[in-house]
Amino acid sequence: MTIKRPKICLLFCGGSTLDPDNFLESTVKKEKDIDTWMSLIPEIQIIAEIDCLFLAAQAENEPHFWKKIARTIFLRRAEYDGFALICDLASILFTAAALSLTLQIGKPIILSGSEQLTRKRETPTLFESSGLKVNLINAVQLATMDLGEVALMFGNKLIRGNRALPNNNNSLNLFLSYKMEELAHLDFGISLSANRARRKTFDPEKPLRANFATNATGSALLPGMNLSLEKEKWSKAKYLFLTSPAPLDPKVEKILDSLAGRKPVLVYGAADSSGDFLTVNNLTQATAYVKFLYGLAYCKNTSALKEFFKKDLAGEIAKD
Amino acid sequence: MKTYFFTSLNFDMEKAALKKQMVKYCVQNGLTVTLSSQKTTVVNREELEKGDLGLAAFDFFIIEVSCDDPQVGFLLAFALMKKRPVLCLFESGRQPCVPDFLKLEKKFSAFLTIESYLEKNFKKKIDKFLGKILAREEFDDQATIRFTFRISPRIDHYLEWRTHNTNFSKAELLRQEISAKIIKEDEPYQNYLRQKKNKNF
Repeated sequence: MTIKRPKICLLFCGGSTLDPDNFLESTVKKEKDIDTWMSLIPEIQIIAEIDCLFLAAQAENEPHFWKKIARTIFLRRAEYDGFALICDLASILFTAAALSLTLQIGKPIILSGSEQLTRKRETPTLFESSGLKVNLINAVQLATMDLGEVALMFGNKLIRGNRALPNNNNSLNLFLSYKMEELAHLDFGISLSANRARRKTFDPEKPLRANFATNATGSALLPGMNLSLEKEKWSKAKYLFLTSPAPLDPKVEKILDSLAGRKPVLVYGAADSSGDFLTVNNLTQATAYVKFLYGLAYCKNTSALKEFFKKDLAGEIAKD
Repeated sequence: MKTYFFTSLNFDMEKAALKKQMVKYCVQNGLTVTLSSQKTTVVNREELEKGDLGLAAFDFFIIEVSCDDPQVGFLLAFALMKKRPVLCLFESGRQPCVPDFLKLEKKFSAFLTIESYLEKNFKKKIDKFLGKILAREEFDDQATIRFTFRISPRIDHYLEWRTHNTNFSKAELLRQEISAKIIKEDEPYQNYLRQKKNKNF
């Protein structure tokens, strides 16, 4: 008796080049490229029944695009056993964070992409030229498994989407996991970890909340910076997202306190402060930023925003 | 027969001597072995465009799955899609988890062999797998059976003359003549084969 094949939705959001030396023929730039592209990776059909959906030739690293992806998946959450997204590496961390915070559908949503474009290519082994294929086969497998969250699949690591950090070592594993074990490890098959979120039934009545604020201003707090100039810039910002090595300079802290009375201010990386601004040091930077924009869309004031940041929406908060 | 022998990087580092023994054994059994760790100078453009990275050229695959490697899933899916026999070897004592997609279709089991092994018995496992492959019809013309055949000086002279200035050995010439002419033109034998095939269906 043949077991029913799982049905997976494969979304194209950029980063789909199978062969950098043959970019034109092996990249999905528009919807009608999909058939040709799929003929280059027929192995994928062994793993599941695949429906393809074109969203963009290149992902926009913008809140409106995160919302578009979230909405696309949300509308199809009952139709498929899981979702796999091919995404540009430039936007993948923010996209993964955004989807993890907005989509709790109890099904796997696995993001992957090609590693080759970021690497200087030397003479390839038979397999070094197949980076996306390898990642995608694994991503589609994972989309059929007992997993209920957003995750990144690269190399031999599956990482929670809101806990991924760039790995600057020259490795197939482009990302590391922030303060938690990977969700799965690959040997012959794929062994899922106990710390993963499992599949669960979603509430069909629960609506999608996927709005994000826009027009945030970002800045890094660095030693020796011209505080007057920065203060002027910060005064004009609608929302302020700052990164800082801990602890904060008292002069800076004073400026931020005065600003926080008038607009939402978040300082990432700083130790907890008693000031009016928000400090975050238990999330990845990408997740902190996305959660900031997400919170701003639904919270009326900084108090509400501080409470919002205490909520662990999708396992994003690292507990020491 | 051309075989693709896959090992993970960790296996290559930790078990280099064992790998060497395994590869040597395959070569001794007449296999042409390509290792996953080999650097190729050029990936064939045509094959890349077909999307199969040149893997379709291999008759079967041996995959050592004891250590983590992300490439195993792809290699397995590719081999099974192309209906190539696959031997997955894992060191005894480990319990690798079998990919879910292998359970989807019963037909995959016809191509896939999963064996645990110890250093002292890997040869038996490879032999068993090769035996299964050679029993398959498409390998009926592989010269794997040793047969001692005495010939007269007249026959030897003739074979010498036929193979002079060619790339064929006397043995290869005889194999060709038997396959292409004697077997093909033997009507009673061909009828027997046809009847046997019809009976099996």
